[in-house]
Amino acid sequence: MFKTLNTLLLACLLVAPAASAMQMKDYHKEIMTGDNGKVECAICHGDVKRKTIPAASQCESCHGSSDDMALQTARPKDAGHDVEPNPHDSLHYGTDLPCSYCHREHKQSKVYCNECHKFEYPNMKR
Amino acid sequence: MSDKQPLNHRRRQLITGGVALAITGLGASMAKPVSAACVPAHEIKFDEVVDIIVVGSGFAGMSAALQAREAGASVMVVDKMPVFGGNSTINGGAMAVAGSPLQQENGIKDSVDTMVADMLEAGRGMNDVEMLKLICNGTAESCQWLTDYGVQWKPFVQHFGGHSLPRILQTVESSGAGIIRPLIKAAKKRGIDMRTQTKLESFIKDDRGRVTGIEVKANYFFPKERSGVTRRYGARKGVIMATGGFSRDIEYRKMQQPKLTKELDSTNHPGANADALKQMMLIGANPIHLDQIQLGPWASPDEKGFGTASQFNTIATYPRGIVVDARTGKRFFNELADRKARADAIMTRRDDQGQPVYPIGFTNAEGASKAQTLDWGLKYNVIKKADTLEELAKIYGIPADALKAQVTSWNKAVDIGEDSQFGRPMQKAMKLEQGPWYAVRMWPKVHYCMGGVKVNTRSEVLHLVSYEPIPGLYAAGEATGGIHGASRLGACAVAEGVVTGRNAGQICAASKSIVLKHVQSS
Repeated sequence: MFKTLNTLLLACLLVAPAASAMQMKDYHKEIMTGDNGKVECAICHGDVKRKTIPAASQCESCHGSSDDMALQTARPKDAGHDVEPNPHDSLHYGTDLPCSYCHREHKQSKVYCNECHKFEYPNMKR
Repeated sequence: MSDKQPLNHRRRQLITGGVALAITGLGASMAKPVSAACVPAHEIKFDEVVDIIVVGSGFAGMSAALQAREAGASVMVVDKMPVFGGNSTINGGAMAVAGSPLQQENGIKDSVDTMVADMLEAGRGMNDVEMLKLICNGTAESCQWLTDYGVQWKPFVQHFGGHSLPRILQTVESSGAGIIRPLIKAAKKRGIDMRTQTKLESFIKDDRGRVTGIEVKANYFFPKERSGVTRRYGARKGVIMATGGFSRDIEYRKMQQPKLTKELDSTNHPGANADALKQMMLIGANPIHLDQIQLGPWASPDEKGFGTASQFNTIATYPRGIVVDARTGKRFFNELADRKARADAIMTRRDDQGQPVYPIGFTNAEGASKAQTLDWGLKYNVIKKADTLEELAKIYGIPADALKAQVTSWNKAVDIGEDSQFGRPMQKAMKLEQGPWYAVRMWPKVHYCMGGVKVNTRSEVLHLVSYEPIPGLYAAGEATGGIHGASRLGACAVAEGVVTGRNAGQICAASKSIVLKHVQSS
């Protein structure tokens, strides 16, 4: 009896953490959850068995291109130093940086620019 | 005795009976290079083949790629990071140019020989003079080449520390991005295959020892070593290594300079490690001057990386202000000495426990008028503003009377045009008479590796034993060693990167192609 329980327990531990157990942003969880109540990992990760970090093109299917994102967070033309730089259109990198280097789904997001800078983006969903 | 026996026994097993085990162990620790190099040439198949592969996309890499493309070669640029440009696109965008039109307009008489002499002096005579000549001789023409690709320069010449006269041109953006972004745009337009997230794992050589390509991890996600898929890319003409230095590789830099611990921040991007250097060494490249690691003397401990203070100090505090010891209010070094002299001087400021006592650099509104990062520095509280010298002294706990006395004596030195205390060049010196004052706390950061692989003036990487070129392998920019000696002068990395990158691109493109097998990956 104990042996069976142990085996079961072990089997549970060995299975990759279920999506439901993984940290997710609420708004994404809501959209990604199917009729069966399960999060559909494939929406971002595709059907491959070994999950990898999604390419920007995956994000773009809902959020639009990197140029679209840059427009959404554009600074007003006459903006001074009180307005932070556009996080989606950098002096150094243009619109090249893939989404996932800042926006993390299963752990806390971070600002890549802040390897050097101290930009504050309070509206960014961490 | 009894302890040693099993060990010896085990060793013998490894040597004799356990050969398979020993080789497995070696394979694991040295990863792919051994296995890749052992495949007979006719059996090596590549997923993709081009004429030239450039590894790295900074000044050297982009210059090499474009120059090679101009010469008609097909070129692929790979970079392991998610973005192009490495340190180059986050640097200050300042290029030392001997004999620029802007110098002539301003009546500044400069020459290639003068620039070589300046770099030799800063390098404490350790420099490779032939390489220095190649670089200095190429600056004016390369500057024009960059302008033709759309780089825009500020309309004035600057005087950076260690140079005997003003010869620095700077992009209007005050960033190397002002060079890198136009070059990337041009590269894409001209059909250069530009790839990020592609990490060099090892070199592939044929059985005559020629480098024929690289093994990479495509879709690599820095810094996750388990990410990515293995691919082999072949290069008919050669591989150009423009892989920069290892300033952010704390473990490796500590092996060279044990004092450069994790407590010292770096101005570099997070990918600046020794991985590519090690791969070059594994196939016989000769490492030169690896322990010559430069600290940037214009950085501030109150922010990460290059930040806002570095530009503020190079354009304002150093040429048009002064730096004082916070405890005495007194100057203690020549603010326009070369980087090594300044960084060494700053790092002598410590308390009884050896903890840093950050010196204070400051100038006034007039001195800071050209500092584009001033407002950002103020916003993030890195640069501080004071209306009077008393207020400035209070902010940093400097004795006010001593500070005022120092300013008075500095102004006298400017009047007579001579700094009798520290011998600072006074061409751009300015009297400090009126507030408001702008100041920063200063402490050096690891900035540049003078060391790297030994190359010749054809940018060929030379073999450690034969001193002959390793066929098919070229290197340019910070990845190479010996050019700057003990201390690189400011704005000479852009000069070096662009000139040696173009040199490598041109020579590699003119070299003979070899035939490589290409498989279409399924």
